[in-house]
Amino acid sequence: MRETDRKDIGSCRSRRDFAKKVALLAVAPLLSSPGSIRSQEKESAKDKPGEIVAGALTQIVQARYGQYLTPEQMKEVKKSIEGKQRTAETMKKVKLQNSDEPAFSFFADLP
Amino acid sequence: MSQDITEDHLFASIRELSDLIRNRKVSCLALTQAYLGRLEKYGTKLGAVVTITHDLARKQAQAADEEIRSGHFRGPLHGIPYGLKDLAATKGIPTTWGAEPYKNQVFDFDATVVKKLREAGAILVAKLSMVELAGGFGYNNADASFTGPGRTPWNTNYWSGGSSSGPGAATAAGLVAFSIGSETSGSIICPSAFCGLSGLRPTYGRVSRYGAMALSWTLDKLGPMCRSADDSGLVLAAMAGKDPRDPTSINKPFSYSLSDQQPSENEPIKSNRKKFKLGVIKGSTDHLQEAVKRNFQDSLKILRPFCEIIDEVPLPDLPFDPVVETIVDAEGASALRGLVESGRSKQLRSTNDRWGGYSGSMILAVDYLQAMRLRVPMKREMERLYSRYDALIAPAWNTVAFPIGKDFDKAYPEFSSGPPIIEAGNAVGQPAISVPNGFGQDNLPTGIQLTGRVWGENRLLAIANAFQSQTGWHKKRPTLS
Repeated sequence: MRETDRKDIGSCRSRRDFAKKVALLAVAPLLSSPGSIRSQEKESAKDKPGEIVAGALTQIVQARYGQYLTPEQMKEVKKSIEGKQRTAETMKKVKLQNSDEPAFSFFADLP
Repeated sequence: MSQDITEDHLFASIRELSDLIRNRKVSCLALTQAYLGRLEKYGTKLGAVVTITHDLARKQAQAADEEIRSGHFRGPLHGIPYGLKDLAATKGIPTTWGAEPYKNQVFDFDATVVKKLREAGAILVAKLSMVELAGGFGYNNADASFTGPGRTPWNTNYWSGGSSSGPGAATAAGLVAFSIGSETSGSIICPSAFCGLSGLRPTYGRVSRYGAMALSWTLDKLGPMCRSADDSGLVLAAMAGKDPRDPTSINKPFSYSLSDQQPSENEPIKSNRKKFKLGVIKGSTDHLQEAVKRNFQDSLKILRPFCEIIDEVPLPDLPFDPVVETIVDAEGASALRGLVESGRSKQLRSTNDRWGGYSGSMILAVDYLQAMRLRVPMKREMERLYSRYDALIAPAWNTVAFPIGKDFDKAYPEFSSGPPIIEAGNAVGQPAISVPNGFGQDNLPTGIQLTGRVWGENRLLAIANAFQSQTGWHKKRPTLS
C-alpha cells in the first residue's frame, strides 16, 4: 500500500469518527437530560429538526474550515445551512418510488 | 476593398458581416482591428473584458483573409470576431473564471467550443468577464468578479447581469460581433435580458462542456449571446455536436437556416401560415415592474397574428428551485473543493462567495440524490406539458437590471420572483431564448423568454425570428461615452 493510500484511509476514518462525535454531541442532551427536560427538548427537536441538523453541520464546518472563517461568516454559514435543510425538507415532500433512479448514468467506458 | 469600418459594421448582423467578408467588401483584419479598438476603448469601462487577444486575433484574421482570397470560405462565421466568457479554456491565454485565486491560470489546451468556432473561421478577440466561479457560491451583489461589476451599456449605473456579465455587456455595446456565455441556471437569460440581447440556452448536451469550468456537471450549458435570434442560430450550429471528451454531449445533428415560413424583415406575416401554439406561463405576469408588464403585453399583441396564445398555463407543481439549488451547491462544492479547502475562498470578491462554498459543502448525499431522482419525474411532467405547445412564454426577468452598489435583495424588494421558469427549464435541460421587447425605467431593456421541448431550439428560433421580423428592439444601439 502506498503512503498516500494509508493517509487517505486514515483521514477518512478520522473524518468519520469526527462526524460520529458531532452527531453524538447533537443528540447528547436528549439522551442525558432528566425526563421533563428531555421531553421538552424532544418537542423542540420535533418542532425544528432542521435546526438541530444545521447546528451539527455547522460544527463540522467549524471543525474543518473554522480557521478560514470569521465568527460573522460562521453565522452566515449557519443561516445558510438552515436554509438548505428547509430546502431538503421541501424536496422530501415529493413521493418517490424505490425504482425512481437518479438522473445520471455511470458508463463503464472511458470518455 | 474598402477598409473603412463604421459603427454600422460593428453592430451589423452576422449575415450582413458575412456577406461583406465573402464578397471582400470588408477584410477580416480591418473588422478585427475595429473591434479590438472598441474593446480597448470601452471594455474596461463596462467591466466586460478580462483579456483582449490582440496577437491571436490579428493572426486569425490574416489567415481568414488569405483563405477567403484563395476561395476557401468556411461559412457564415468565417472572419467574424467574437468574445468568450472567461470560463472556457484557451491555450496559452489566461482563463480566470472571473476569480482572483485563478487570475493567473493558463491551460495548455482549447475548450471544444473554442476549437469548433476556430474551425468555423470565427476570430477570438477577447476573453470576457464573468461573475466569479459562475456565481456558484451565492453572490448577492453585482460586484462579484475580480474585474469589478459588469455594466449594461444602456445605463452604466446598472449591472449587465450574471454570470455571463462580460458577454452581455460586450455584445450589446458592439465590442464583439457575438459572444459565448454559459448557463447553469439563468446565466445566459439574465444578462441577455439586462443587456437587450438575444441569448440562447441550448438543450443540455447539445454543446460540449469540455474545457469549460465546471460548476455543475449536470446543469452547465454553453450558448450563444447575440444581437439577434438569427445570429444565435448561426452560432449554435457551429458550436453544437457530440464530443467524445464530454460524455454528456449528444449525437443529435443540429442545422439551422431561416425557414421558408420565415418572413423577410418588415414583411407582414401571412395570415394563412400555420400558427405557433404559445402558452403564457401562469403567474409569470404577477409581481412585475410596470414597464416589464406593459412590454410583455405589447409583445403578446405582436405575436398574436402568427401565434395561437393560450393564457394561464401552469408549470408542474414540483420543487424545481430546491432541486437546482441543491445540485449547484453539492456539485459546485465538489468541483471547487480544492479552493474551498485551501481557504483561498477569502480572496473572492463577493462577501457571500467567501463563505458560500462552506455551507454548500454540507449538502448531505441523500439530499443530493433526492434532487437527482426528482429530475426524472420533472422531465416527465415537463415533457407532458411542453408536448402540447410550440413554446411557453414569460417575461425574461420580472424587473430591469439591478443597480450597481446595492444588494440584489434590496434593489427591487417589492417585486418578488414569479414561477420558477428558469429553474424548471434548467432542471430538465430544456432550451430557452431571451429576446428584447422594449425598455423600462432608466433606459434599461426588458425581454421575453421562450422555453421549449428538449432539442427544440429551432422551434424557439423560428418564433423569435418571426417576432424580430416585426420589431426593431434588437436593432437598437446604446449610446456610449
